[in-house]
Amino acid sequence: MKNQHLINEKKHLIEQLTGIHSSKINYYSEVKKRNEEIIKQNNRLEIIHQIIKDINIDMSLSDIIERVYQRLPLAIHCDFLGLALMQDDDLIMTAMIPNCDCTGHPVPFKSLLWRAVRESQSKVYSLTEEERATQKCPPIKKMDLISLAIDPLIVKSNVIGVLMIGSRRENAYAENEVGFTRQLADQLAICIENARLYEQVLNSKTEWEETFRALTDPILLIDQNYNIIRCNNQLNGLPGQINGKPEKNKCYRYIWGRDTKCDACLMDEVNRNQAPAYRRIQLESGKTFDVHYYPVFKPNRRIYSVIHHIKDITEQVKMEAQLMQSDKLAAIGEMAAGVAHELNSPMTVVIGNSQMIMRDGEIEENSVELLQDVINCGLRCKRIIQNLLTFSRQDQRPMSRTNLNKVVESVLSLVQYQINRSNVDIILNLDPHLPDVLANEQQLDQVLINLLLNARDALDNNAKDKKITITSKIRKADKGEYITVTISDNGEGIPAENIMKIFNPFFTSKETNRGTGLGLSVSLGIAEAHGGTIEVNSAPGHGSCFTLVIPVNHQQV
Amino acid sequence: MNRTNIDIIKFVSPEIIFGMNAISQVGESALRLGAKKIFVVTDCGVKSHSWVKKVLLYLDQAGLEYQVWYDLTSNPKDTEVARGAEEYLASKCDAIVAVGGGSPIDTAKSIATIATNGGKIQDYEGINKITRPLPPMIMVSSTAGSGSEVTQFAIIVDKQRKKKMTIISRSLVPDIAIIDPQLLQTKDAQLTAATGVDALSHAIESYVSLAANPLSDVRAMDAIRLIAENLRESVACRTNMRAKSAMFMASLQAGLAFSNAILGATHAMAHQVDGLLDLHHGETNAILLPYVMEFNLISCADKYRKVAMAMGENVTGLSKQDAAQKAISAVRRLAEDIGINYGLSAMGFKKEYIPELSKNALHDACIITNPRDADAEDLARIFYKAL
Repeated sequence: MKNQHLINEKKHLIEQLTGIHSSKINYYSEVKKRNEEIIKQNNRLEIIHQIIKDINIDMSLSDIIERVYQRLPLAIHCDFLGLALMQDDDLIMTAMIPNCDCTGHPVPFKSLLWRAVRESQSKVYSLTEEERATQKCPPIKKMDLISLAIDPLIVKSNVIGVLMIGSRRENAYAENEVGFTRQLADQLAICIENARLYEQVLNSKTEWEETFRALTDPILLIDQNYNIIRCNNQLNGLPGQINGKPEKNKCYRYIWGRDTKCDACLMDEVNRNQAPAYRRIQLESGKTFDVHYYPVFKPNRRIYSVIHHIKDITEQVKMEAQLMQSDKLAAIGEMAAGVAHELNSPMTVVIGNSQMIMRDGEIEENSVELLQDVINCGLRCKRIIQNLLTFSRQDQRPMSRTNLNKVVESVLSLVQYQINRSNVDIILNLDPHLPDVLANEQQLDQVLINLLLNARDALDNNAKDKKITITSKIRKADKGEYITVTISDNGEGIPAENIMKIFNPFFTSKETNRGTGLGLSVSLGIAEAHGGTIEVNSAPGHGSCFTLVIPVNHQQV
Repeated sequence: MNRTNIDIIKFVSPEIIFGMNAISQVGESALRLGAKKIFVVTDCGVKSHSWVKKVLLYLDQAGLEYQVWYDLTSNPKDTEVARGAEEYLASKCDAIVAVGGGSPIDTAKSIATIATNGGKIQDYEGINKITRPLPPMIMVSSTAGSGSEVTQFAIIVDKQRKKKMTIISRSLVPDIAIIDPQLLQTKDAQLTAATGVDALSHAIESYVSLAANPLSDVRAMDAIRLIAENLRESVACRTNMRAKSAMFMASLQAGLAFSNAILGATHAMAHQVDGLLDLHHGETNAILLPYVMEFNLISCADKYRKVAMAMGENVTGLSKQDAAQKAISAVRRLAEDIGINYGLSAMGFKKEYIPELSKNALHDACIITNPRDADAEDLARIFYKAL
């Protein structure tokens, strides 16, 4: 027996030596083998490619996982696919298919997934019964997974998560399949990172857009050809809005409702100076806008676009006008106070002495009349001074019951002389039964003085027959009772094109050293503060007619 | 064991191009194998010869690029193979042409092995360890002895273990062997003698090998006859083209024979000695061969009788044993005639080596096919005799 064994052994050795059972290894079979591997690898790359193609940037992670799960079985066994992502210092199960009810839970620290994070290396496992028992991972237990391929998702050498592929078969993943799952994980890492970055960009974009929209002033981004690139849709009160919803192409059409570019457009200036520019626009409607141009530069310092910021400053301008007017009044008041003080003493002496001479008697009949005149004129002087002081007083007195006829008289005491000096007749036509109105007398003084002085100025060019009529009346309307004071002249009138503008602050037809353009705008402001208004009628060449309208029962706000 | 016990036989051989000016085929042959850039392996001893330049010229003419590498010594070392493989991979060559004797050819085979299989040459020691095809190989042989240009063997010295490793694989059989007798002219008498006896040892050992078969026997017999008739003349005169050509054919036939029938104890032992002392393989074989034949005599006297006949001995009327003895004396006489009349100790071999080498020889693949079972003591006795 032993001998036979030896013989067989020797025979075997000799057969090996002479190569009965071996042949020269053939290149064809080698190439075929490699080819098969390459085809397999190609298929896998194709699958990765398809998966990546399927994934959109705005897909949710669970959608991504679902897509991969659909394709993956074409390349390797896959009964379970899970994705865990790092959040701060925790590894959170983020998406999985099929669902094992642990989405959103942190991965136990002893899990193989954590090992992938720590070692930053792809691994395949085939778990023994014993190993499976120690695994706490719900998918392993629920799905009865035996084989696992676990790959860390690496972005810029940081592990951002772990991809877990599981199979119920033993040894489902060969070592050389690590390459495939590794590639898949790398691609997924890129997708996930891209999605994250995209969301970040989207969020900050939304943030900016909302900031932009939150501004109530219109802001537009326009290019060099006045095309609107972007705008925040705030168009309140701009002329473009008048004809319904304006076209959003050219800025001049959209904002200003024009067919050509604005005459005062500063675009050229901005281009020339490479610096922001600003202009103020007053519309016929009285609306005033500040228009700012801010150039936006490309990296090469060329202007890429211009930010157009339009601010409605109508109210602000009105305030400014009132402020200037009251400054003016304050100056008058200060001066008047001084003058009054200086004049009061001599006037007291003049009036006092005249009265004493009268009382002593023994005066000629002629002289009595003369003295009486001195006394009357003296008293009138004191009243004028008093009126001047009252008119220019700064303090905001509360409204009080006021008779407008009295206001007319007090105003006339101040300005009648000036008006008469210009050879103007003043015709009074006052209704003696006017009820009192609640008003600030000093402010109404201002209004009437303004209107009277304007009327006088309008008569400058009349050769003769200059006439101002002051009429007070009660007007009954649906909304209640009004007192009207009309001041009409037979002067040159107001040209039709200006009739809209006269109440605009700083609008004036007078020479620059005579008018400030404040009077009418401030007057209108005062009338409105009393719940009233100022009406105007004008026939160029025949005269103008301004009416102050004050409600009888104005509820103070 | 006799031949009838081996029911299946196998015979492998490369394409062989033999004849005067066969070297001119090298370019076209390489082209046919699909090569683009050739890694030419040769050694310092032959690189300056005109026919290395000729090989390069023919490659040029075929429009092939090449890189020449000759960083090797006789009895090539594992380290040289490693360097060569590195060089081969770096050079982006896709075929190997070896020009020279057994050393460059075995080195070329080993480089080719590592180039496609990776690792180090030690990984492939033994039988059929190669798993991937090698780059195309063309061997241009310049010595009539080793027969390596047609065999499935490569012998490489493990420098650390001071031991010859035998690598056996079908994949080591070159694709094309080019044998051009002109190349032999350049060898000196001593080298011609050593390689000649080497070829004789191949022929005799493969003839009596346990793996011998009819296809290999024909070649072994023819080789023995040609060597007995031509070796003396070939050694005697550098320019005897007829003798050289015959010796080349003998070497080729012996190579084909032993590549398929394997060898015996002579080679198992000689491999150890050469590995240790870095000697020329042919000389060691020449010294050991008659002693091994004496030891083997009782196992294959009949075959030795035929060897004696092939060597021109008259054996008519002699007993089987006496006739076999004639073969041994014929080998001895031939060796002496061509100047190999000394023992192992003349080459620096010392008694102390014997126990170790005898043991090692038992692990050599060649011992398997030796016709007579031998243990370490048997081999040691032979070594002592050959001192």
